[in-house]
Amino acid sequence: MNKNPLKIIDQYLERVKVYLPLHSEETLMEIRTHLIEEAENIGDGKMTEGSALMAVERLGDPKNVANEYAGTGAKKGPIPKEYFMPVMRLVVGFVGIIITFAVGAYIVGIFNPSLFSPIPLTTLLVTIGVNVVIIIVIFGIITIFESKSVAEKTMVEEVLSLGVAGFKPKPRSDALGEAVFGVIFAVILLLPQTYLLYSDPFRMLVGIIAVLTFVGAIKGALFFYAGENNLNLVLEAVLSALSIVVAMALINIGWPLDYVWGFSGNEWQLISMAYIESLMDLPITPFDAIWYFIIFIVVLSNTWKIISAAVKVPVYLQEDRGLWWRGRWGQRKKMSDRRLKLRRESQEESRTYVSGSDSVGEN
Amino acid sequence: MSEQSKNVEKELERWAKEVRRGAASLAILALLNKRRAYGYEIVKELEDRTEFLSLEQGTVYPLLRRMEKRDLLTSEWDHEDPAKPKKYYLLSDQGERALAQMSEIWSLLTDEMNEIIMEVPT
Repeated sequence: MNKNPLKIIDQYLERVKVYLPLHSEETLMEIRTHLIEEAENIGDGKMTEGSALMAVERLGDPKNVANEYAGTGAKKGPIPKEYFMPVMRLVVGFVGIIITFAVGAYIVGIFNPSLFSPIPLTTLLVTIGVNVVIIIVIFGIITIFESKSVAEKTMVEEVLSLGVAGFKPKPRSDALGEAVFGVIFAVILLLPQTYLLYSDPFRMLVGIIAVLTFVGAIKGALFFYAGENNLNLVLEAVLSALSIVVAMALINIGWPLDYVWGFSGNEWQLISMAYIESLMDLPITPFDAIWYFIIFIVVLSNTWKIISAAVKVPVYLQEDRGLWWRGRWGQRKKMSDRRLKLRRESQEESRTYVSGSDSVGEN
Repeated sequence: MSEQSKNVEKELERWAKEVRRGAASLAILALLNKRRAYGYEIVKELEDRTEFLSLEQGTVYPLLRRMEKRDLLTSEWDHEDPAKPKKYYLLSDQGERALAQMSEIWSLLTDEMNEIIMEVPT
């Protein structure tokens, strides 16, 4: 089956990206242009599947190409140089997830010990060690029998690229969502009709939550306008830390609503949560469990944001980027099949390449 | 191939790599002294104009990046063709001074080396 030549190039670049440091987009863009021009040159002005394959083969093994960029030298500590960056990213991601979960579990566990009982450190470390050994053995066996073209990621690279995905910048659409929904949510929180529903302890905190949500919306707007930069990352980390502190208070006060609005057929009226619980007739109250879960997710996501900022800001400072610049946005990876098809079609309309022997020139 | 020939070939390879690495920096500076150029243009010009210096394609870009880091080159992106954005490299003031001194040293080196090599029986 004929393959889109651009897809071959992009797949190859995905492999190179695995071994490059974070924020190597410019490098990848430069290599991409090189490969397109080389493929066009090989194909006498037209890019074909064959010429794209030849271009990537001429550039060489993705590990070596990335390694040339990162520097020279065979090993960095016990790890081969080309694996150093992806392994470090994966380790940071892995440790970050453990810390994130530990912080979330600790905070929720303080107030509800039945949800998370402490695990002995030695048990935790042994479990992690055993799992790592099992993973290495499985991937070792798969790698031995794996046979892929130069443009396709190997199984090991698939895993190593998880480290890249964990630190991707915020997509612009997400930033816009934060800005718009942050303002809407802050306003709804403070509406008199909503205020009536809250429990007394929650009323004491709702102002703080509304302010945090509103500042979060401003942060979303800054990300939307300027992408990822140190000021936005620090602001996000500070907001996340404050959110965790507020979450500790929130889990202590339990489910925040005493009433909900219900329509009786003629008019809207307040219905007591106690009344709803009595109707449900359950041995335990589900609302507190839902509340603990929500708080747990809030703590997890905010802890990850702090870890991500702690990794990225020093990298940017090392690059002498300062505090504010027009940075990058991430891209949403998952796209519905229909949207993907539409996008491909529109791309192919503006720029058509030769695939196999069906020659079609550039429009 | 005998063991001795293999060793000689290996040594030649190693030596050629070292010479090429130093010469490539000078050649790139000299090419960019005439006009700004982007990576692929530099790769192709080196391929077209030289035999010994036609480097593996993957090694030219890191070399450009290192020279940029050392302030010998500056760069600017051209997004005129959005499908193929080009990073143009230019010689910096520091690069110009380095080129002048490196050219002088290279001329001296070739003269001296030619003289020494002349004494080697072929």
